[in-house]
Amino acid sequence: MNALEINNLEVSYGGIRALKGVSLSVAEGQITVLLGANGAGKSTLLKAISGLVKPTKGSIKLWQKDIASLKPHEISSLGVAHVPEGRGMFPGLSVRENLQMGVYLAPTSEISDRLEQALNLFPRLRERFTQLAGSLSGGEQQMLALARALVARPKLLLLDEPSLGLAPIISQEIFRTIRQVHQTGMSVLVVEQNARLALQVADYAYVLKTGELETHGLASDISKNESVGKAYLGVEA
Amino acid sequence: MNVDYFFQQLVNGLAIGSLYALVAVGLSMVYGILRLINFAHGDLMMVAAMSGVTLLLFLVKSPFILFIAIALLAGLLGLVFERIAYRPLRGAPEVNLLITSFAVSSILQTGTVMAITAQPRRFETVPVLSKLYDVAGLQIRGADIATFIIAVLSALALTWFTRTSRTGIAMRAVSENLQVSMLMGINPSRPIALAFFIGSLLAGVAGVLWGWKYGQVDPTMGFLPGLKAFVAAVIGGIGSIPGAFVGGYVLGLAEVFFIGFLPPSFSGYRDVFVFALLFIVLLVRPQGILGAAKGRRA
Repeated sequence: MNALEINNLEVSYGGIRALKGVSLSVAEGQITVLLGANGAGKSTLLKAISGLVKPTKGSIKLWQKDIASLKPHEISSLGVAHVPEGRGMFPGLSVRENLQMGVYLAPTSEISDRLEQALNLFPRLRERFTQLAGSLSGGEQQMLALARALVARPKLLLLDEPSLGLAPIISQEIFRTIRQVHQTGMSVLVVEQNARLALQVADYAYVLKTGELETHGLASDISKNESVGKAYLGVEA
Repeated sequence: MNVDYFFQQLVNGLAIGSLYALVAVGLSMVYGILRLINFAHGDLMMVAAMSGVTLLLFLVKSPFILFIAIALLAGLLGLVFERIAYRPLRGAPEVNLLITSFAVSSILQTGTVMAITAQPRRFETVPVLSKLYDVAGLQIRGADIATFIIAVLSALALTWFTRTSRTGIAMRAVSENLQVSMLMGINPSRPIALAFFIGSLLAGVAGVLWGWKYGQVDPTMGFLPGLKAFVAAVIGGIGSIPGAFVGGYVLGLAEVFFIGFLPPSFSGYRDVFVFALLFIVLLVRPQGILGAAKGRRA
C-alpha cells in the first residue's frame, strides 16, 4: 500500500510552471528520496503535499484520500509533518515552546511523554531547552526541526534538505536518526541535494529535473545509474 | 524646578503612557501576525468612547458595567472588521491591507457622525475618578490611577497568557512564521481573530478611560492617539506585546517631560516631538527596544 500517491501534478507560480505533471508514490513504511538540482521543483512538490502551495492540476492522495484542496493545518491533522527548507524555526520561541508547537494537535495526556522521547533522541536539545531557537547553531536547529516534526507522531514525514549547511558528521547523524525513527513504521519522503548520503538510507529514489521526472527506481539501482552518477554523485563516467 | 514638580510630571507621563500602551498593544499584535498597520485602530477607541456617551445617557448607570460593556463592544467590533474587511485579503500584498484599514477608519468615523453626532460630547465622569487624591504629596486624579492599574494588569495578563498557554504560544508562533505554524496544525484564523479581539477590547478600554480622563470625546479624537500608539509600538518593537507597553510608557514620559521641562513656547511642538522621536528610533534602533534584531525572521 502506498502512503502517498501523486498523479500528474502541476504547480505554477505566476505563469511559471514549477512542476509539469509529476507522478510519484511513497510506499508505506519506506524512505523515498527525491533528488534533483536547484530549481528542479523538489521543495515545491513538498509544499504542494503539505498544502502550502495549491496545485493547478493533478491529484495528491494520502492513503487514498484526496488532500489537494485541503488547508495546511487540515493536512497536518491527517498525520503529515513537513520540515521545510531553512528548518522553519520559530526563532523567538524557546526550544521548549517550539516542541510544544510540534505537539499542538496531540492529546494533552501524551505531551510530556512525547517531549521526553524527543529529548532522549537529541540530548543536545535538553541542554538548550529554555534557550531561544534563534540562538541555536545550524545543526541544533536541524535537530530541533526534526524533533518538532517527530513529536507530532506523523504517519508521513516530509523532509526538505535536512543536510543543507551542516557539517558532514552532523548530516550523517541526522540521517541515522531518520533511519532509526522510520523503523517505527513511519513513511518518509526526503528531498536532498546530497544524493550520496540520501541514497544510502533510502529504499526508493526519484530524480526530478526542471519540473519533470527524469528517472526513478530502487535506491540501490539509482546509485549505480550512470547519468545520475554523473549529475548528482560527482562520478566520472 | 523642584523634586515635586518632577514627580508630578512623572505621574502625568505614566498616565498618558498607560493610554498609549493600551492602544499600542492591539496595533502591535495585529502587525506581528498580519503585517497590517491598522490605521483604524485609534478610531475603534473613538467609537468605544462615543458609544460610551450614548450608552451612558440612555442605558447604563453603573460605570463598572459601562466599562465592561464598551470594552466587549469594541472587541466584537474588531472581530467583525477582521471577518469582513481583513480576512478576505489574507495573503494579499500588505499595501492592500493598509489601504483597507484607511477605509475602515473612514467608515468608523463617518458611521459615528451619522449614528451619534459630529459634535464633541461631554463624557460623564465618575466622582471617584475625577477626584484628586493625595499620594505622598502628589496630586493624582482617580482616573489616572485607574488607567495605570488597568494598563499594568493588562500587560501582565497578556504576557502571562502568551508565555504559558497553548493558545498564547500558538499566537506567538503564528506571528513568528505563519506558514510553519500552519504546518504544526494551527488554524491561523483563530489566533488572528483572537489578536483582533484582545487588541480591540483594550482599545475600547482606553476609549472609556480617555473619556473619564478628559471628560470630552468627539468623532476625530481617535486619529492622533492612534498614530501616537503606532509610534509607541515601533519604539517598543512592533510585534512584541511587552514592547508595546514599554513603548507606550517611553513615549508618554518623553512627551510629558518634553513639554514639562522646556519653556512654554515649545509646548505647541508636542506632536512634532513625538514624530521626531519616531524618526530617531527608526534611524538608531529600527527594531525597537524589545524588537527582534534584523534577520531573525528567516
